[in-house]
Order: sequence, then C-alpha cells, then structure tokens
Amino acid sequence: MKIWTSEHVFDHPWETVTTAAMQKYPNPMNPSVVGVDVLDRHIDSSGKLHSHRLLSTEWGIPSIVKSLIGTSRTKTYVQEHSIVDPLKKTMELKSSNISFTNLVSVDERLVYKPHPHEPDKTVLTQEAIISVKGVSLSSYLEGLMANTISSNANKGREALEWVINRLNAEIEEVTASARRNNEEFNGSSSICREMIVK
Amino acid sequence: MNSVGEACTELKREYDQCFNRWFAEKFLKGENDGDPCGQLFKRYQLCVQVRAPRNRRLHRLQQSDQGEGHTHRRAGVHGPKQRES
Repeated sequence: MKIWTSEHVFDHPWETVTTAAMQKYPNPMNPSVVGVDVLDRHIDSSGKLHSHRLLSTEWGIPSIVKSLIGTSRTKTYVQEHSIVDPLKKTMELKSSNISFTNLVSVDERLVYKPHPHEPDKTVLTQEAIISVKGVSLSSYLEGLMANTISSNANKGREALEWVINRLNAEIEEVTASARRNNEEFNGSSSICREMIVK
Repeated sequence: MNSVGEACTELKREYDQCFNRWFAEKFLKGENDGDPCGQLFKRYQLCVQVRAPRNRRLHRLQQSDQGEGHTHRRAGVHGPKQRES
C-alpha cells in the first residue's frame, strides 16, 4: 500500500476553482477521459451538494486489439463523489477505480479550501492510496503508480487553470458583446431622439 | 464532454448547461431556492439508464446509488424536504 500526498495553491478564489472543478472535463491535459455522467445529485439536510459521477477513460489501446475484444471493453471506469459546502467553502472530491479492482485500487481524495491567509487564493490538498494486489513486486509497482499519480496531479492542476481561463474568456466575450449592443442601442436611440425633436 | 452512453450526450449537455449556471450563480452564493434543472436531469437519466454500457460493476454502482436511502432520487438537484416534481 502506498500513500501519496501533495498541496498546491491556485491563484484564484475558491468559487472560481470550484466552478472549474465541476466542469473539469473535457480538457487537453486529460485526453483519456472520454465520458462523464452524473449518476446522482442532491443537497443534503445541511445544505451540502453531493454529486456522484462516473468517468470513463480510454487508454489508447491499438485498434487491432480493440477490434479483437470489442470497443466497449477497452474503457475503464472511475467513480467520483464530490461534496460542496457553500457556507464553509469546502469542496471534497473522492474517487476510486471500479475497473480492475481485482488487480489494483486507487483511491484519491482532493479538498479545495480558501487559502487561510490570502482570501483570493485556494489551497488544494490531495492524497492517494494505491494498492496492488497479489503480486510480489507490489511495492515497486505501487512506487511506479505513485509517480504517475504525481505527474497526473500536475496535469490536473494545469487542467483546472485551462478551464478557469476558458470560463473567464467566455465571460469577457459576453461582456464585450453586451457593450457593443449597448453602444448600438444608444446610437440608434439618439438618432430617434433627433428625429422626434425635428 | 460526452456521456458514457453516447446517445445521451445531447441531453447531458442541456442538463450540464442548466446545472453549471445554477451552481455558479445561485448555489455558491448561498441562494438555494429550488432546482431549475430537475426535468432536464430526469430526461438525461432515463436515457443513461437505458443506454449505458452493460458493465456489471457499473450496474451495481448505479443500483447502490439508488438504494442509498435518499428519498428524493434522480430529480436533478433538490433540497432535503422537497418532493420529486
């Protein structure tokens, strides 16, 4: 069993990071995630939003292998449970694989909170527990997987930054468009006013 | 992002747009005055239940979600005391 932990600070407020985390896929850093579905979503009695999602991933298996075993069987699945508390400003995300659990378990937990000293920043603490079963090289393989998780974690953070930039660009586009419409409207209405006065 | 049941992608997209807007503009600001996305979620869920790949573990996961003791299931997002619309 191997445990891996890390901490990262995003230079964005908690609301921005949480909104981006809910829309994390698709993004160019995680091309293997090919499908996301919401299995359930509800608000509990303390006002926290629970979401249960299913992620399907495709790992680039050669097409000849796919054609032999049938494409639906090259997908692997991860289940994800997230809890967002808008009052305490925490988002917790727990995920685990549901494919190959007879061989390996990867359980991850991510928590996003506002930075305790800098309110416009967000702290992400991340941990993973990896367990490879029934293999004598298990601790070596677990070490390999921990390295993969670490580099994937970097990709994951880059992915969130990418989503945040995309959302900000969309907001700017909407604002600019509204401004243009407003200017045109003011232009037209001043022409109308001149005509009425004449 | 596509749905796992590929035929449900469009329904999912409509639901996602509704949810993402509500989440950022209402929920995170502490305004929880009801779920505007319930109908969209129901339609999307019906599609997934019928068309999602027949994977035993997946099926068990969906089943265990259904049995988790929440009385208000699969009607989008809703508060604890609301009934399914």
